[in-house]
Parts: sequence; C-alpha cells; structure tokens
Amino acid sequence: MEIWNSFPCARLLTLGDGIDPRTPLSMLSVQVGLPQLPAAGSDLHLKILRQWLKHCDENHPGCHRPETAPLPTRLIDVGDSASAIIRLYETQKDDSMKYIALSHPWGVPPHFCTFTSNIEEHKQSIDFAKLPITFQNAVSVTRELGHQYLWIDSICIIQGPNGDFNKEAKRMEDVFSSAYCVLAASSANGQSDGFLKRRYEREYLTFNREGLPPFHICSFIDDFAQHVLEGSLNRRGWVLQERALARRTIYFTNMQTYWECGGGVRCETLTKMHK
Amino acid sequence: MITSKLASFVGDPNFPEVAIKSSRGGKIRLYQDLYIQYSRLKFTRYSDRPIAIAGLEKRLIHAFDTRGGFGVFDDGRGLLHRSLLWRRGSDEATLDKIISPADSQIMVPTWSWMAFKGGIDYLELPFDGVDWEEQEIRSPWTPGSRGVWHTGDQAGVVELSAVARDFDFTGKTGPESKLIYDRPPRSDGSIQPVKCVVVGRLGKGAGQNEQNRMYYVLLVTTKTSQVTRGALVCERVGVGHVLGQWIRLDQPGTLVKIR
Repeated sequence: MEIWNSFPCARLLTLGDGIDPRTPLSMLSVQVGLPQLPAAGSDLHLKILRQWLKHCDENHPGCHRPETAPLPTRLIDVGDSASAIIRLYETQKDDSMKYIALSHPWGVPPHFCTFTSNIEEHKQSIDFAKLPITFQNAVSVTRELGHQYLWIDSICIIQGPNGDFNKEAKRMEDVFSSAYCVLAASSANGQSDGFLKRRYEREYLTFNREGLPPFHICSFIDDFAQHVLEGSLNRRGWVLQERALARRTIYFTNMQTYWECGGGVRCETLTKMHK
Repeated sequence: MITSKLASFVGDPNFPEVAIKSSRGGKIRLYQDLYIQYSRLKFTRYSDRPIAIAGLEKRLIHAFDTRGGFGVFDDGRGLLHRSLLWRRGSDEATLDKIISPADSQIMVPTWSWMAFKGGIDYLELPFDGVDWEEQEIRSPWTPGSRGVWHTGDQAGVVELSAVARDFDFTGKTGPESKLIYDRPPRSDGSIQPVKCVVVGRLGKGAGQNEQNRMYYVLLVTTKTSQVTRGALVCERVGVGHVLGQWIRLDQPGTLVKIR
C-alpha cells in the first residue's frame, strides 16, 4: 500500500462484508481507501490514475507494449507544455511515440469525424471547444497523464466516401494492442455527453473515536462485473476486441473508475481485486 | 452472459496467451464462448460484424496454428467442421441477413454466422468421438497453409465445396433428430427444397449401424439454378442432427458450392 501514502486515505469497512459488528476493529483487516470519491477529472482523481499507470509500468513487465509496436497511421497531437494546439498528425516511418487510445460509443449523430473534406484543416489544428465532450474529456485526461498523443477512431480514420475505413479497420489489432493505455468511456452514451461526469454518491457513516483516527462504514460499490463487463459500452460490437487487445484499460463508469491490467483490477475506492 | 473463464481470456494483456495454454477442448470452448458473446453485441453498422472482431480472429488463428476466417478455423483435423456447426441462438426468432454496403470489400458467405444479425450458439458435440466427413465437405482454403487469416481476402466469394443429399424428415421428431433453420420457414408452408450436407457423425457405439447413427448436417438450398464449375450454387439455411436412416446415403448426391 506504500504507493497510496500520499492520499488522504481512511480506514473503511464496507457493508456487505458480512462482518459481525461487535468484532474489535483491531482484529479486522480493514480496507484502506476513500469513503467519498474525488470529483471526476479533479487533481486527486487524476493522481490515482497516474499512480495506477506508474505502478504497472514499474512492476508488470508482462503488461508493457513491445518496443517495436507498430504505430497507427494517424494520431491526435494534443500539444505539450509549450503549445496547446490540437492537430491531426500523420505518423512517420521512424516515429516511436507512446499514445493513448479511446474506446467509446459513437451514439446518435451528429458525429465529429475526419473526412476527405476536412483532413487538411484537422492537420493544421482542431479547436478544443468544437470537439464533442467525450473527446474533450479524452484530450484532457491524455494531457493530465502527461502524454501528447491520442488515438480516436472517428478522427484518426478518414470516414465517409473515399475514406480509408476499409483499410484502417483491419489495423485495429495494432492500434489497441500497441497503445500505452486505453481510456474506456463507459459512462458516455455517445460523443456528446462525456465520461468525466458526476458519479453516483456513495453512502457512508463516519465513526470518530477519541484519540484515534476515524473509520468509515461505506456502501459497497466495487463491482467490476456489473459496472464494466455488463455495462452498456460492453454491449457494443467493436468494444470486445478493444478490451481484449488493450494491455491496460482505465474504465470511467457512472459509479467509479476502474483499472484493468495483467495484474488484475483496481478500483478508485482503492480496493484491489486479483484475477 | 460473459463467463469468468472468457473474462480472464479477454482481460489477458497478451491475448490469447492464457487461452493457448489450455487444452484442445479449452480452445474450442474459448472461441465458441467468444463468438457466442460477440454475436449478441450491438452495432451501429452491422456490416462491421466480420471486421470488428478481426484482430482477435487473427490472433486466434495464429495461436491455434490454423488457417481460417469468417468465424471458422481450419486445422485439417475437424476444427473447420466443428466451427461450421453453429446454430441460431435459442433466444433468437430468426437471423436476418446483413446487407453489405455498396463499397464493402468483404463478401461474407452464408456458411458464416458473420453474414447474419443476431446471437448464435453451437451444436452440442463431444470434444472427442465425432467422425468428421472428409470427402463430402471441403475447406475453401489451401491445405498446409498455417496462420493465415482469410476474412480480409478480396478474391470474391469464398465457397465450401460439398455434396448435398436428399433427406426425408417429415413427421419425424425426437431427441435424436433436430433441424434448426437460420430463418425458420413461415407457417404458410412456403418451404424451399432443402438438402443436407453431412459434416460429421457420432462415433459408432456397440450395435450401431449407419441407419441409427447420429449425423451432423448443414441444411442448404439452391437460390437459383446457377451452376459453377459443374456444381450447383447453394446457400446455407440451417443446421441440425438427424439419424442416418433419414438421409439418402444410397444415392450419389449433388455437387454444390455453398456461398
């Protein structure tokens, strides 16, 4: 748990553990975690995501992408500390940058896309304010995770007549398996409603003990199967292989954010689930 | 519903590494569970169905060291036959054909579930003990080639060469015989003439003969009187199992190409 020391964690008892309430606290292995989740997109929320990545980078060689991983044909350059300009970038033969990929439902039109008619414009710049909210969220998270490149199908593949969907669709294996990590917009219904939304509020009770740190009894909200595997994004045809091919995925659900990698599943509540 | 076994395969960062460490039976369960689940997922454009799973299909073909495409695997040892024996899901009233867009480069044959909308299951077969038919149904792909993914081939329609036989199933029902149409015939009786293609038969038990052996068949129908290279062009319309005695095994049958 040492990597969580920088967080304002608390001792938690989660309801549903089937614990006799008379058991002295000292005899329980009490979960350390957050009784109340941080706001989606807040500094603390993003800090948790960065810690997940860092922990996996440093401890799970099996989750790393191969050094020779092929790059997608195009990536979205979300800018760096020197420039916040967003533009479509065509990868070059010797490039080897890391990128983040977005797994999302398209939802109802209108859809923000690259077409043969606007690709030149997108290569110059893409106005952040004109992006649909789901894509704005993806750009923000990519930047906050300290990355410069993002892959989104509707922008990085030329859609419509004379586009290159037929060619690029067959390269999806490389796109998702070579990504540094995948962001899954599980709580979004389409391009326009975003995934950094207010989550359902968790219920909890705080017990203050004289001279001792408080502990909390919280409703149990760690349910990867229900929130991710059975969630609406997972009913979309394209998403099955996106999940299977991704090495590491961050799922932004309505309840909380989950992390999945070869090492298992982690919850934003700081619970860790083994496979 | 996703099984926890499938969930662990799909959650594998190096898919399908976990899967290939399992037994032959385990591999069969894996691709069946994968396609049973995938076939129930929703699409904005259903014509994406062959391609939105292509990354996983390619990896499975490599990992199994087979050739294949359109949702079937061909290892020359019966996997093609087994993977052709998919059926309309028991929760589906009918499987509608997917209309390909005009610019589509992939022509999905009717022997592939990827040609249809809706969930599939597989006929329940033992992992061992099925004698696969090697003469009367032939792979569309060159024997010997390994690890080749064919869904993306753009060489026109991919055909299965087969022998179609007449059968008489009228009024015969029972646990040993069942035909499952991909699109059940309407109750007004407008059934097209249907023939069957023998895919395999259950191993002969003591005291059994061809008459009372269980046969696994594809149901096919001629759409037109189109003939190609001396064979009649057919489409798959269903699958099933019947006793040998209901199939006209005493006649030579008709050469067909299933498209």
